[in-house]
Amino acid sequence: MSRTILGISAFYHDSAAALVRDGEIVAAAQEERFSRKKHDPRFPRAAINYCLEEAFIEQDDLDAIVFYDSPLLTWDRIVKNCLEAGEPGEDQFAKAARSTLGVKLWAQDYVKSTLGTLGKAGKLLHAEHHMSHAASAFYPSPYEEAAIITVDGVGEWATSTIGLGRGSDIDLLYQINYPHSVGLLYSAFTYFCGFKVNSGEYKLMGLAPYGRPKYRQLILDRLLDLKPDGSIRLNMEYFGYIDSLVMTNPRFDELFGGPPRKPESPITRREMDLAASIQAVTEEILLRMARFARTETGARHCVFAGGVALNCVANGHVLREKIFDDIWIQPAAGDAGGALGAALLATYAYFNLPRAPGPGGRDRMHGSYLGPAFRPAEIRSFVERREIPYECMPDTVQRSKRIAATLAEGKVVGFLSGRMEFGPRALGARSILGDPRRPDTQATMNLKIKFRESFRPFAPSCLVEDVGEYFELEGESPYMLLVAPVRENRRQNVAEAEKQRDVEDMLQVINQVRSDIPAVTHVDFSARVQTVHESDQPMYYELLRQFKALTGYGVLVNSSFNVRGEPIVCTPQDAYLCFMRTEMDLLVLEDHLLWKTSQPAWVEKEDWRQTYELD
Amino acid sequence: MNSTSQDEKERLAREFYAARLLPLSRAASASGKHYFPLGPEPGLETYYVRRARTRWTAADFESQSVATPEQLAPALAALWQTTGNPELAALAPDFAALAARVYDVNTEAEGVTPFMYVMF
Repeated sequence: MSRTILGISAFYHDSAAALVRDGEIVAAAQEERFSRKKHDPRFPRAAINYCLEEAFIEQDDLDAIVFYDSPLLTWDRIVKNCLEAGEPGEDQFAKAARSTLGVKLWAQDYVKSTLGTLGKAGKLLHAEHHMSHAASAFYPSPYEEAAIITVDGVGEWATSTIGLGRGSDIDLLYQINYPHSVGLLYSAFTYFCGFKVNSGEYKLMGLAPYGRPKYRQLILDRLLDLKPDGSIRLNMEYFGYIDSLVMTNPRFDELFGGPPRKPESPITRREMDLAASIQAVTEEILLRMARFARTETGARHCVFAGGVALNCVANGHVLREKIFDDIWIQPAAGDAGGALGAALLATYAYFNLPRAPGPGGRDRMHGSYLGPAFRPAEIRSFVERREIPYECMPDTVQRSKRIAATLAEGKVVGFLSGRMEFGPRALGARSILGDPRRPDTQATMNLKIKFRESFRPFAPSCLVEDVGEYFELEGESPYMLLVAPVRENRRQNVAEAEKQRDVEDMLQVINQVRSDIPAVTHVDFSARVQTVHESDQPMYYELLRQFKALTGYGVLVNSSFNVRGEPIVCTPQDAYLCFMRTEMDLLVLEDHLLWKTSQPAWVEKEDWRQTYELD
Repeated sequence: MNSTSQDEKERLAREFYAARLLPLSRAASASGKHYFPLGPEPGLETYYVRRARTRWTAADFESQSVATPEQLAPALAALWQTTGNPELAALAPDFAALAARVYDVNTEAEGVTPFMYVMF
């Protein structure tokens, strides 16, 4: 019997919806893409609506609606946390009572008021936070059997789990409990280094190569006890999240030489070294966890999810250590992916459907292109209604040649093609593209399009068959979740780069040439690689192919299609707005090409930069 | 369910904390009881906890569902009896009453704070 299941994650960060029919992922999207509010935690009404439309169903057709975690078990943790905090726990309790007791416990009422139904199951089903993560990692993976590792801040009580997936079954065998958390440890350093918790972790990871891990031993000696099996216990004397509303406390400040860095203030050598240190500790923890998982489960493969699984530097390290034959990481590894995991878990554990293998031994994520697409007729309607000048090039090869030539001239291209990505990374469906060979690409894209001075290089997209020519990476990295070294024979100015690691001002060195693809080469000669497979994204693949035919390089700079603080664009309207507000040269909306030089003058009454809170 | 203002909800929560939870917290503290470990125990071989429930079953999907504040009291009481916290189980009806007073599904969730991991 056919089963259609809606999964929902909400109320923490990045709320999302996903729709699964008989184990096939039909649609998945984050609410922020529709609401245009970054990391939108609100109930994902628009994302749910999109999922139902994509599946061509009415809400009454849903066999079940599943929420990704258990607010009841979360409440148990909150109450006990406050009891442990004593008097200072009152502030947390006041906040949590309103948000959890007042709102989150009643997810069923949100569903009823949004959909008017609870599906054929007649009640909102609930999964467990890390079960949802585990399901999001194992079920779409290409493996019949795999060890499962989930690591994040916290979900109910668990902060990490280790388990085994086999066929349609998932068994989570071990867990580490709150407050002892790899994710919260990393977030504490994110906060202390002046970045936003829940989103700035990626920046901290990008900062790490500038520093040296001089605090690594201090962290291991004072902040936590790390066991040989990768399990940890934090020393809560240094953290603030039990009894205050910030991550660290004065003892932490004292240990690391002063108060936290103020957001947006200059980054100093201390932050660089702290970033390098916590990155080194995190990698050590994850490597030990992976070895323990391998020993305990005996599985040859491993899957990862949870927010910490977005740490692509650590992922690359785990892969290179060859603890497992191969690893697979859920592209929406954070809480958004919990919506997908909950729907998949219900498919196999509630309705007991059989699990089918992926096509040709590949995964079942469809490249993570699970969001809305816009047909050429819709694009045409949009540009004509707005009287936007355009050029239509229906022939994919000719169009790709034209775009490739534009990129090779050093121009920057906004690219909207096919279904929107699910997860935090732009993978060529909603991307800003540039030429990786040009030394000025990075500065141009940062200052004229992203409106930021970034210490992080952009990521490369690469033809899957060419990845070995550019990067020391075996196999695929379709979701930009593995960092790999740029091949030694492509590196340049190696001795100079080593000296530059100790400079105080990172922005002096970021734009310097380190390889023949400088725009995507980090200061440590690493790159966040995306391999592009023809069957996942044919248009993007063809563009890469034509760029290679023209330049000899099957690589492009791929940055998310947004400005700082803005969610990645979803619709042609969003894309056009971002295009006109920035200095992109060309906007590709499927087969329609919009040249900046042909566009009318762009006037806005208000400063749009105030629209987005800086991330 | 009710139209209590946000300020009023905050006041109710703070009063509840002071009257119901703080005495429990003080009693626990006085007796040296902790609700979870706060630091390393070098003598332990591992900090992993072996899970009693390794698999999420059809019954588990349904058991976590709470539809009304009336259903909340028995659900919390059962949970806290299971976890060995009779002092909290005894407060379950009070928590349910507080939930009824602060219930507000029409309020938009608060934004994400840059200072704290979103955990409640």
